[in-house]
Amino acid sequence: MSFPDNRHFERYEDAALLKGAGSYIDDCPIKPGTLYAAILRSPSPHASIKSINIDKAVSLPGVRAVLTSQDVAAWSKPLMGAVKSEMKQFVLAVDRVRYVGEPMAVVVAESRALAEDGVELIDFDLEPLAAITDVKEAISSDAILLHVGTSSNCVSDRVFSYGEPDRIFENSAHLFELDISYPRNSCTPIETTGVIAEWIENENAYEVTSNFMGPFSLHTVMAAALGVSGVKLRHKVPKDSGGSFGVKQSALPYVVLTCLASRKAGAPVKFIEDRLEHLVAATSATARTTHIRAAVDQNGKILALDYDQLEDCGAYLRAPEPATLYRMHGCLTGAYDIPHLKVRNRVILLNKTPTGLVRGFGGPQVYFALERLVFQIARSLGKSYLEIAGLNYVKKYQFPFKAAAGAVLDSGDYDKAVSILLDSPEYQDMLDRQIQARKKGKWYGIGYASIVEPSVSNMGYISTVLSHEQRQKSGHKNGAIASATVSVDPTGSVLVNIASAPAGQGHQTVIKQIVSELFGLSGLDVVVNVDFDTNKDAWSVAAGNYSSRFAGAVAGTVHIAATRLKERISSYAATLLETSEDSLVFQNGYIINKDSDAKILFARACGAFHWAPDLVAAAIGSDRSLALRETAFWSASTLSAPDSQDHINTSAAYGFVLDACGIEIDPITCKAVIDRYVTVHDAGKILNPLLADGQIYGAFSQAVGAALFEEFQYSSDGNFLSGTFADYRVPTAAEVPIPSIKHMESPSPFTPLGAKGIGEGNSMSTPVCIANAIADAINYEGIHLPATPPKIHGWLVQAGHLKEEPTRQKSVRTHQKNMPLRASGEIKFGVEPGKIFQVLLDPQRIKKIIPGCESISQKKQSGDIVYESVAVVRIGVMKARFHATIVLSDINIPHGLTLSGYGKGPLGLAEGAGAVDFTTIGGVTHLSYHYQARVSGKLSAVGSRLLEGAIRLVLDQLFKALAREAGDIKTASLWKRLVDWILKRAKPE
Amino acid sequence: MKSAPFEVFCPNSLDALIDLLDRYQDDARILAGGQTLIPMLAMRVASPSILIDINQVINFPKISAVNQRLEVGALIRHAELEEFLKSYPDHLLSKMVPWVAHAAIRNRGTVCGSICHADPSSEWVLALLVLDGYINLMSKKKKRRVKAKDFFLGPLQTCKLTEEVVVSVDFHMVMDGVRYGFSEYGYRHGDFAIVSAAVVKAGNTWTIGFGGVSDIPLVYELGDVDEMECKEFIEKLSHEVDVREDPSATAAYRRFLMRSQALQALSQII
Repeated sequence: MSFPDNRHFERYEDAALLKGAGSYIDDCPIKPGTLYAAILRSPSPHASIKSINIDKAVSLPGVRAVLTSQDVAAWSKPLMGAVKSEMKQFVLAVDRVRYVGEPMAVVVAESRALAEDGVELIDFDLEPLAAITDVKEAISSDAILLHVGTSSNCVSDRVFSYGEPDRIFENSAHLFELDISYPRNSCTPIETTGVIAEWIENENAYEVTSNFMGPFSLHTVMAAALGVSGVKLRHKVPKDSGGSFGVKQSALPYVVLTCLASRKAGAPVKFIEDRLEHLVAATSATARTTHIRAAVDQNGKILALDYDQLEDCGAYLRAPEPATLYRMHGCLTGAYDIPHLKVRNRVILLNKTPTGLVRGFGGPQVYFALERLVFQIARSLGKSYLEIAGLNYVKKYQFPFKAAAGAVLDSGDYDKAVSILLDSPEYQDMLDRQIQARKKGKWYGIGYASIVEPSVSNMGYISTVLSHEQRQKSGHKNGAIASATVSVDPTGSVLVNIASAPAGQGHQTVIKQIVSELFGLSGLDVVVNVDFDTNKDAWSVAAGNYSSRFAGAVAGTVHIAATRLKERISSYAATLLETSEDSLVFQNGYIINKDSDAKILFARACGAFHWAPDLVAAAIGSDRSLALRETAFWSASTLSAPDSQDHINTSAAYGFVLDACGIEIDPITCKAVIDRYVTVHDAGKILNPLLADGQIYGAFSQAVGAALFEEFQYSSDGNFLSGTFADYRVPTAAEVPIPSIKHMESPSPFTPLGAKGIGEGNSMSTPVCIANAIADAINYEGIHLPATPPKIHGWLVQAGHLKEEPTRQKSVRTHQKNMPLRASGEIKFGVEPGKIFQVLLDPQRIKKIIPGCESISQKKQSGDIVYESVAVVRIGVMKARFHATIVLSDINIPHGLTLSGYGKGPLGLAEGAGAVDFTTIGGVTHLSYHYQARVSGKLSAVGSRLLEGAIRLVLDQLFKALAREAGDIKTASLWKRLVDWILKRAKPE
Repeated sequence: MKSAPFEVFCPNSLDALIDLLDRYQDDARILAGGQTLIPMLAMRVASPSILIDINQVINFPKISAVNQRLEVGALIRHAELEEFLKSYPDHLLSKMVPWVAHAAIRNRGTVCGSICHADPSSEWVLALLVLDGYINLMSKKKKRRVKAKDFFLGPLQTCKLTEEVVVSVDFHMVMDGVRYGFSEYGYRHGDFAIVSAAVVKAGNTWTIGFGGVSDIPLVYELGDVDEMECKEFIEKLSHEVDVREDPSATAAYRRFLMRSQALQALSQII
C-alpha cells in the first residue's frame, strides 16, 4: 500500500504528556481503603535465613499486615520457568536469600511511609554464605550451589551444531578466536513498576492494574503462581507508561507479590517501586562471557562460527529467561552467509539480580562477540572492515534467506547500505578527520558494525532451550499472535483497540495514521484505545510491547482488521452509489463513486449498519455479517516451532543496521569522545519517519550509555554498588551526540504492511561499533564495556601509549575476595600495651570506645571474649545503628590480638576482622592494625564511593577513644596531626 | 523512599535556632538547601527525629567582600554566589562555580551546607583549604572560628559539634598579584569530581590543592619555585601520594588525572 506524503504525522500523545495530563499507574484512581506496600529486602547477597520476627512491625500503628514467606508458600506456587530444574522461585525468599534486594517480607500499611517504618522494625537473622559473582566461579567444582537439589549452578547446557562446523574448523586457512565479556546494564525507565492488586475473596480471583508490558505469555505464569486460571487474574494496563524498554517485564513477580499482600491484608494494595529498589532488584540485561571462533578462508570469507556462551542469569531463572540467549539463536550468524555453526549455551545462576528483557535483548551480547571478531579478522588480514563484511554478507538475490540456525531473513540489500554509507558526506568527513587527527598524533579510531535486527519474536523460540525430545513432551510452541479490534460506532467515528501496552513509542499516532488514511478520515475521527484489560480485550500470548513488534505485527494486524471492515462498508456503499466496490474512494469523510462523483458521508453509510440493519442486509445479502466491528488475529506464517534439528526462525522480520563511528580518545582525561556517527537503517516499510528517527535516537542514546557509562557493579563479595544514579551513570543530553541517520527500505514479504521493527537496532550495533572504534584508536584488542576513562587509561598503559603508574605495595596481605574493603595503619601510644589490654578486656571500659555505644553485654565463648552491643556509627549526617557482635580472639598479652566485629541494622550489614599488634620501641607503644571488611545492603548500594573512607573514619574514632580511655591523653590530643599518616591503606592486588 | 517520621521547626532568628540546637543536639539536623539532606532522608540513610529548617532565619550574614576576604553566609545559595562572583571572573571561586552540580541544584543548595557535608569531591571544601578559609560556628555557649584544615576530619566528617551551626565561611579574596587556576573532571556534566585541581600563585608562592583524591582534599604550599619546579613537584606527588581506589575510578587513573588536571589549572595561570 502507499502512504500519503504527510507521513510526518505529528505525535498525538505528546500534548497531554508534556502538560502533566498523562494517565500513569500512580494516577489511577484507587478504591477507598486501598493500602500501601513496602518490601523488606535482603541486604546480603547469599545467606540462610535463620529467623524473621515481624511482631514489632505488626504492632506499629498504621500497619495492617505483614506478608511472610509462610503465606507465600501457602497461597502460591513457585514461578514456572522455561527450563526444568530443581530451582524454586517463590516471590518471597524462602529459607535463603540469593541476591541483594531479594524480597523477604511485605509490610502493608495505611501509607507507604508507615509501611517503610514497619519494614525497619522487622528483625531478622541471616547466616552469610559464600557469594558467587562470576560465571566461571559458579561452575567450578567447589562452588557452593545456589539451589539445593540442583547438581550445578549451570541449569542448562545445550550444544547445537548446524552443517559440519568441526570439519570446517579442522581444515580452515585461518582460525580467529576471541574472548569477550558483556556487562550487566539496563534501560532504567523514568517510571518504575507499579501494581494495584485486589484479592476478590468471593470469586477466588485477583484483579490487578499494573504497568507490566508483556509479553502476555507471562500472564499464564502469574496466574499459575497464584493458583488461579487465567481468566481469574484480571490484568489491566493503564494508557500511559513512562518507558519500559523491556524492563517492565520485571513487574511479573511484583504482580504476584502484591496480589498476595492484598490477600493477607484483606484490602486492595498499591505498590510503587522506588528508584533504589529498581536499581538494586528489578532486573538487568544478562552479562555474557563468550568464547567465539571463526574459520576463515584465505580471502576472508567466514566458513564456520563457534560460540561458547556462558550466560549470567542471576540468582533465579525468571520467565522468560533464558530467552536472552535464545531470542537471537536463529540469526547467530548475523548479516553473514555462514553455513556452518556450532553453539554451546550454558545458563548460569549466581548471586545477582535475576535478569530479563532489556532493549536489544540478546542482540548486544551476540553482536559484541561477532562484530568484534569480524573487525579483528579484517585488521589481521590487512583489509578494511567493509571489504570483509561485504565479502560475507547475504546477497540481495538470496532473500528470503535461511540462516544456518534457522532464521529466515525476510528481505534486505546490505550492499546497498554500504553504498549509502560510502556516499554519505558525514562518513567521508569522518575518514578525513581521522587522517587529520592522526597527523597530529591523536588517538582517533573508526569502528563499524553490521547487524541484523530481529523483530516480532516467535514465541516458540524459548523452547529451543529444551531438547527435541523434551519439546515433543511439553508440546509444540510457535507463532506470535497479534490482535486488534477496529469498530465504527453509531455516529460514524472509528475506535481501535490494541493490546500493545505502549510506553511512549507513539502507537496511537501510528494507528490513527493508518486507519484514518484507510477510511479517508481525519485523524481526529479515529480514537485508539490502548488501555488494556485481559477480561475485555482481544489478546494472546504475544500481546504486549517488546522485541519491537509494533510496526511489524500490531500495526499490520490493525490494517488487516480495518481492511476487512472497509470491505464490508464498501459492499454496502457500492449498492447505494450504484457502482462496484473497486470504483469507490474513501476521502475527506466521504465514500465517493469515482466514476460519477456521487458520494455519501462515511458516517451515514456506517450509521445504517446500526440504525437500519434490515436495509443493509437486503443490500449486501443476509448471509453477510452486519457487525461494524472486526477483530483480527495475525501471526507470521514463517514462525514455526523449532524442528528436530533445532532450527528455529526466531523472528518474523529482520531489519539491517550498518554503523560507522569516529572516536577520539581525549589525552587529558582518557575519555572516548564520539566525534562522528553514521547509522544506516533498513527497517522495511517506514510507517512514520518522525517516530522511526525517534526510536533510533532513543536506542542510540541508551547504547552510548551501555558502551561508555553504565554498569551494575558488584563487589567481589556480591554486594551491589550501583544503587543511585550517581553511581549508575545514565548519560545526559550533554554526553550523547546526534547521529546521522540514513534510511532505506526493503519491505518485508511476511508482515502485513511490509514494516519491520526499528526499536532495538542501535542497542545492538552501537556498543560494539564504539568498542571497535576504540580498539582502532588505541590499537588494543581487549576492549570491554563500559569503556570508561579509567579503563581506557589502563588500556593505554597496556598498549604502551602511557607509562605505568607506580603501585605502592605496602601490605603483605593478599586481597580476600570476601572482604574487599581494607584499612591498615599504625598508631603510637604513650602508654604500655598492658593498659590498652585492660580497656579491651573490660566491658564497661570497652563500652566507652565503641562508637555511640548504647549497651553492652559479655558472653563467654571458649577462650574468646564476645561482646554484644548496640552501636551507633555517625558519619556526617548519617547515623547508622548496628546490633554488633565484637569478638576478641587470639589474645596474646602484651603482643596482640584479633579484633573482629559483625553488625546488622537497617542500613545493612557490616563485618570486619583484623589483627592488632603491639610493639614497644623506646618507651613508645606502636599499635599496628590490618583490617579487612565488607559492607552489605543500603550503605553499600548508595555509598560505595565513600565506604573505605568511612571505615577508616570509624577505626579512627575507635582508636582515638581507645587512646583516651587507656589514659593516653597526649596521644589523644595529638590525634589530629596523626590522622594523615596514620591511616594508610594497602593496595588491592 | 519515604523518610522516617520527623518534626520540623522553623526558627526565624539565630537565637531561636541555637536554642533548638542546644535542646535537641544529636537528634536534630539542619535543613538549608536540602539538596543533600532530602535525598538522604528519603533513602533513610539519615533519620533525625527533628529537622530544623533555617530558611526563615533572618540574621545570617549575607555575602560581602571586605578586607581581602569574602564572607558567605549560611543561607547563600550557590547561584547567589555565582551571581556575586561575576564581578570577579578571574578568581578561583568564579572558576569553580560552574562545576558545582547542576544549575537547578545551585538554585537551592547552599555554600555552607555543602561545606558542612564535607564530601571529598566538593569544590567549596577544596576552595576553603586552598584559600586560607575559615568556618564561623556558633552555639549557645560560644562562637568559634575554625581554620579549614582543622575543620575537615575525614569524608563527610567535620569538627562541627551537634549544638553548633555554621553561620558563615570566609575565604581569602585577593586579585592583585594573584593568579588562579582550576580544573576538574567528572564523567558526566554535573557529576562530582573524580579529581579536581586548584592552583593559586601569589608571587613565587604556589598553593596546589587536589580534591577527590583522598578523604579530604590535599593541599600543598610551595615557596620560591618556578613553573618548571612546580610541574616537577606535581609529577612526583602524583607518584607518591596515597590515592583512593573505589568503584568510580582506579588509583592509577586518579594519579593520571592529578597530573592532567593540575596542568590544566596551571595553564590558566601561566
